[in-house]
Amino acid sequence: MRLLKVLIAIGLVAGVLLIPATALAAFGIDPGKVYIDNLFPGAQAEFPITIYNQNDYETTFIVKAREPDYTAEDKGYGVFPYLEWVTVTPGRVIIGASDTGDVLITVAMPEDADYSGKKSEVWISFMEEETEGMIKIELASRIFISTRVEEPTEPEAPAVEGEGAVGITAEAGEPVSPEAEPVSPFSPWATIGSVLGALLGGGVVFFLFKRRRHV
Amino acid sequence: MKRLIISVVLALSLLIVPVSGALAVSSQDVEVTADPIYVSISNTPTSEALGLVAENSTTWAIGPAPADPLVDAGCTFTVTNDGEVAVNINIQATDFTGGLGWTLASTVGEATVVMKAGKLGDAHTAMIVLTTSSEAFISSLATTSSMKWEFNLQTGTFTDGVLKTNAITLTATAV
Repeated sequence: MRLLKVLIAIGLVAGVLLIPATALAAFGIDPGKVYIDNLFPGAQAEFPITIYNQNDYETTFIVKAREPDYTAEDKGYGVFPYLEWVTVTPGRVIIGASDTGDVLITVAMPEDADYSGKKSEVWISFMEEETEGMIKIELASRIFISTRVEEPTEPEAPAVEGEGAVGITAEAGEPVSPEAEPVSPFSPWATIGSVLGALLGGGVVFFLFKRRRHV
Repeated sequence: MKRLIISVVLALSLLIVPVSGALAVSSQDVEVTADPIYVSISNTPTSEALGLVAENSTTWAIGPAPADPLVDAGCTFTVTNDGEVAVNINIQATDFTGGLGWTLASTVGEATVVMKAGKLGDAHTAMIVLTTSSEAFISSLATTSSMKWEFNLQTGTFTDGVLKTNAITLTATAV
């Protein structure tokens, strides 16, 4: 009888030890894809990504922007070359058991960036900070970035070609306003100006109309 | 009187044209569109201890060399798509640490090993040689679907007899 108990105990211990360790849906992310269109110098895009901690314990996640392993080449997207434009806040997130947490992603294009009319992809990587076991899971949200086609704002240097160009150097003239932003005809100032102009014009017409009636 | 009214209408219409243009300012803004899709995968088991491995040998995670091509019973691991969208899964590994360490390579050598991973149905010769860079592994794994996979380790010659470990990372992205 005692021998049977010992054998059962050994069997139970062996059974527990032989159950394979599993990584059952430890976490998830949403959204898995984000499209940023019409990005232009000086502009930025912001959006949140939610992490779902499906562990029954508090978990720390490391979040960072990284180069993609592959891109949607069939849709014209290449590798986004400016990881420094992408900010993840925070880059380390502690989320309680079965809870969710957000990280804010900001893609800011510098004022002087020369990256007009491009389509490229960058990934936001999510991994658990400390996981036991040799198989790690990384989830990545794919960010597709399209930049606006900008009109050239500075005069180009005159081209010097042909045989007569030997020994000749040419220098581009200074732009009138090198720091000037391309002025959109639809700026807020244009809106305000138009409204004020309409009011002023209406006032003048009303004044003339009244004066004519008196005459 | 009529002339006056016509003049007023013309003047106002000229002034209103740029105003309506100003309302189109939103077309110049940055647009952010998120695909609300949940991405998640799981893998089981999370570890595999290979035990003692000999020089110039091949050790499979499952134990004895499995059938060629890989069959269900010849695969140790199962990766499952727990998300709401099909995913592509890439794979990469780290060099082995512990003692003098082992470096991953495409051919074995002194302290240099070859690690290969294959999924169900792959011929042994079609298994991917793992490196520290990410490589395509499983394409378009449908939601709620699973895929079995296996790896092996080919050793060269050793410079020490110390316990070594490495990690394999599975990276999932929405298709």
